[in-house]
Amino acid sequence: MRTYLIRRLLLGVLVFLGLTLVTFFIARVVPSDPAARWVGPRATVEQIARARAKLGLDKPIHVQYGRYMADLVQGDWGTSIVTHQPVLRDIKTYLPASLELTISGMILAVIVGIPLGVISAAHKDRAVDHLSRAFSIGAVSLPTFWVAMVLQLVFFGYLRLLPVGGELDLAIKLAYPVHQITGSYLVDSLITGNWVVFANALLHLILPAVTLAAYPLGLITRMTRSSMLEVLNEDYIRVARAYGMTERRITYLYALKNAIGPTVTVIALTVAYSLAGTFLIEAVFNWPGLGHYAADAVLAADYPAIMGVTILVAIFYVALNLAVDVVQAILDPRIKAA
Amino acid sequence: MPEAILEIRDLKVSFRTFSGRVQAVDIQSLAVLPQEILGLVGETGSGKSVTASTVLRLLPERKAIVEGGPVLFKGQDLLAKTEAEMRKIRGREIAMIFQDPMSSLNPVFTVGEPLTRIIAIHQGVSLKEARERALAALGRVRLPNPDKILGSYPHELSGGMRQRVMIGMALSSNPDLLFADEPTTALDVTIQAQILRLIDDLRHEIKASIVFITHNLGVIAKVSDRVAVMYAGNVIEVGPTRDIFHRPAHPYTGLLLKAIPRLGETRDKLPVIEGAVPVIRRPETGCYFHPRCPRRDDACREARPVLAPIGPGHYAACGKPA
Ligand SMILES: Nc1ncnc2c1ncn2[C@@H]1O[C@H](COP(=O)(O)OP(=O)(O)O)[C@@H](O)[C@H]1O
Ligand SMILES: [Mg+2]
Repeated sequence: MRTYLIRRLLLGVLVFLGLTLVTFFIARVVPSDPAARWVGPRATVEQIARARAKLGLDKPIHVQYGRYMADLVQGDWGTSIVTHQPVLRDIKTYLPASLELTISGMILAVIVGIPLGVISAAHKDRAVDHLSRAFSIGAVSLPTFWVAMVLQLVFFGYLRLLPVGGELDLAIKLAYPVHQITGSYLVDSLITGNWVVFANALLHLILPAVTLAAYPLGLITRMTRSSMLEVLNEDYIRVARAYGMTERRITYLYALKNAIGPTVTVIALTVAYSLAGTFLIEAVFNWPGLGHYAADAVLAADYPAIMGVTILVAIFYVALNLAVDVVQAILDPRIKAA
Repeated sequence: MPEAILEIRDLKVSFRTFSGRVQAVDIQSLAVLPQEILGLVGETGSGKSVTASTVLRLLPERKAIVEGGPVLFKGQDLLAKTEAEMRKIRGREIAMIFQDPMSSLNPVFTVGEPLTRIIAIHQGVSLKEARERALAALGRVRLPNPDKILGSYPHELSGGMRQRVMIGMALSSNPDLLFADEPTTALDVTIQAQILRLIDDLRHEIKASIVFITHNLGVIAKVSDRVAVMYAGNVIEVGPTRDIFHRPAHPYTGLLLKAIPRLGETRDKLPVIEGAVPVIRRPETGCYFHPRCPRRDDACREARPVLAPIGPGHYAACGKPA
């Protein structure tokens, strides 16, 4: 188990280094002048040159990369050209909202998607299966912005049940100040027992989380269903039946533990992707997450910010992949042996 | 004749397939006597496994059509039982061992997980007590170090050990009836012999009747008391093992005897029965076997023979028995 994990970890580090290299060079190839942007449109040629020297853009490219990596591990992720703030500080500002959205969306997708997939497989070709198929294919194929707007229209515009966007009502934010610990309203209010804020934050989270959950929910359902169908045909399932085990135990324990592997991988990849890939949802729901920050950075050719977000996502990818490897090894003892 | 532990009468099983209904089993009569080993023999596709699955009611509900009956187990019709009642019978009163011990064990659980669970469910004991009984069950099938095996995963055990585990599991709740469906077919020859010896040894320790299913008559020559031969879903001959081997009445049984592989022969060198096909096609009228029968005459093409006595306890369904 240990050598297996060490191997996976080393592989992860390699992948991470490769990614920094690729993003670094791509950022340098972008045909706009970051130094000119840094100083603004009315700067003189000397000012631009000085900025170029200050940003290290006059050095050979491999030197720039070496310096960048050295700074990176020391926690200096550069300074955003747009916000003029350290990139790491910007990320700390936007990450909690993104994590909040991603994690709650994924929890929703998992707790609905896995049972739905299992039930569809156990009742293949019956009414539940057909319903679940229609539902999950819809969830995967409907455009995100369309889902978001329909949800807003129904739950805000028509039913007046849920807020249209934002993290918190302004009035509540002012009347009940939250002591910042993690940067997430939801978590901080929970820790400090600030129930008014907690309830309000939760209400604001529902629609964006449901929107985000839709695609992975459909994916998880289909994935779980197909691998469950395969496993339910295995001999050991027939044996379990031949020995008087209940269908429930067979399905949810003996079959699911064999079938869940591919789903776990999908979940991890979707989490990593959703962290900065939910610009559309953040825009529709006015959600101050990393997607916003990343999109602004791209539009402004703010390469320190772009690289910062890319590297953050890369770290999450590598870490989540490692977590997946650990989970798979726990689920299936044959992996450790291989 | 002592009262049968299992008695099958007029059982018909067919499957819905894309190409219409396929008849898999059509048994006029078959009985299993207390504490005997009955060899159930027939070529692949003759309906042996389906017969066992029908008794345990393990056939896929929506695909299989079971007609006729009854299937009397200790005097009660299994076809009339509810699913909940069947769950209490499966693994407790009727157990089953399958062909491939690798695929019979769940790869992501230790061997002990299903074994202790089954004992706990069927014997109504705590998991702790079930564990003790599981250790005893593994000891009974002559597995050394049962403690270690209980905590092992299937891939850590050899084929022979896995089949011993399966046999231990089958016997753990002292069933009255045990189906062993080709229990040695997937094993290599030396292991095969060991498992056969184990079954032969165990029969004196347990009170179960054993239905030993195989496509190879040679395998059961030494262990079975009686043999029932199946062809195209029918039991076409049944009798004491010695009679079946020395005085086969049905020409098909005679052909099966010629097809017994000698030691060291591989399976693909077997003398193939002429006209053999994986899915046995039945003629519209007459004896199912007549298209392949060396002794057929015009009468065989018209009337379907039923099981008729040949000698003491020896029956055959043949118009021209030997
Ligand atoms: N699930 C199924 N669906 C359709 N046909 C089946 C199914 N199971 C068995 N059969 C058919 O029933 C017949 C008997 O099969 P089986 O009892 O497995 O034979 P064997 O004697 O080799 O154990 C075969 O012709 C097979 O094609
Ligand atoms: Mg079979």
